[in-house]
Amino acid sequence: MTEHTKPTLPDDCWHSIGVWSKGVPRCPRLDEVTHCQNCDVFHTASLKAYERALPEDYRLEWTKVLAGNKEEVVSDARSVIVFRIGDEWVAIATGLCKEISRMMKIHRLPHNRSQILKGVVNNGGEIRICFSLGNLLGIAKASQVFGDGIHAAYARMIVMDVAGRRYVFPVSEIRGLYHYREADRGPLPNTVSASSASYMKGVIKWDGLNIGCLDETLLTSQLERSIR
Amino acid sequence: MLFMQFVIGDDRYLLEAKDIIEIVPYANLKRIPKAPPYVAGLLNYRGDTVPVIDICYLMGDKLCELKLSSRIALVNYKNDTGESTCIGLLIEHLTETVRFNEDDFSDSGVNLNDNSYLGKVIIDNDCIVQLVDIRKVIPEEAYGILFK
Repeated sequence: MTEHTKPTLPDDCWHSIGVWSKGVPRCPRLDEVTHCQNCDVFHTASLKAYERALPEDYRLEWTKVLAGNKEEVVSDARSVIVFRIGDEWVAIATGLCKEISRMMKIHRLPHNRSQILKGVVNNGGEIRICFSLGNLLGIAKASQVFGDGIHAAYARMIVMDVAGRRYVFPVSEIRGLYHYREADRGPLPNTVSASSASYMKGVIKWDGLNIGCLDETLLTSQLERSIR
Repeated sequence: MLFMQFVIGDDRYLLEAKDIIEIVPYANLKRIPKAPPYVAGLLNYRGDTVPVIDICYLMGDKLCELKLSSRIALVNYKNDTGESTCIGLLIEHLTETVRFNEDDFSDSGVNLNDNSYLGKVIIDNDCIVQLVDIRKVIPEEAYGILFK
């Protein structure tokens, strides 16, 4: 979009006493509205920004936009939750994730020698099986430090629901929700180890990251076998 | 119900949002020589020619100013035979959407003529806000010019 000259507003209280001010005094209205964005003074002032002359280049740009075809809405978009295990970025269909919670205490099971089955957790009063997705995929512990002073990496647990059965697994960090198109999912590179490749549908790229998309049917069938 | 609000003079008016396809900035229009002043021109909208009516002129007797707040509301206009056409309404201060309960509207008590586009009123923040009927805002003679 075209750059516009900043509107001149006589009283920008949000800079002097509002949330964008550096010190005291603080606006008494903030107690009620929490943030200047919810305040009608800010709202009225924002409308004044529209009461400016229409820039000619902006008008020309929009004339062109309106004359062209409307951008089509992506209909085959898939939603995934992206998370990290060790050094690897992995994605799972959003519909399968029932909950993302803080780390829960894992109760170990006696005589359990499985690397994949970690134990059980108390998830809101229900006992759920907790497994290690990292061990199932053959992912080693992280070799580098993730997160910095501003954005720390927090370990979380994902509660997954596959056909009514719920499983819990810990992850090193949740990155967020991402939408991709089926056509944008590439094949797995040959360098991926055979054990983890067998559970992946393909690779998507987001924000400079290569993310492996989990195939939930393959994953759960293997999971069921390994924890039995 | 959702409404699009605009201002003429000091007064606030409402358009029903369900008739609106899209709100776009005041783009360049092809003028039509000798057309009445309320016909602002023709807009190339996604490859279709859409007539644009100046609501400011129809309601406020002055041409719509070239401002960022002056926008074109593209609306689905249904004629008497039920045929739907897209027309553009050029309106100043078309910047806000508001929600009102349909039952809270009351009759204005002033009826200029049977075919007036001015509809029911509602009181919001001590101000009287009036509903505008898109179907009636365009003068009869305009149909002859625009939708032949």
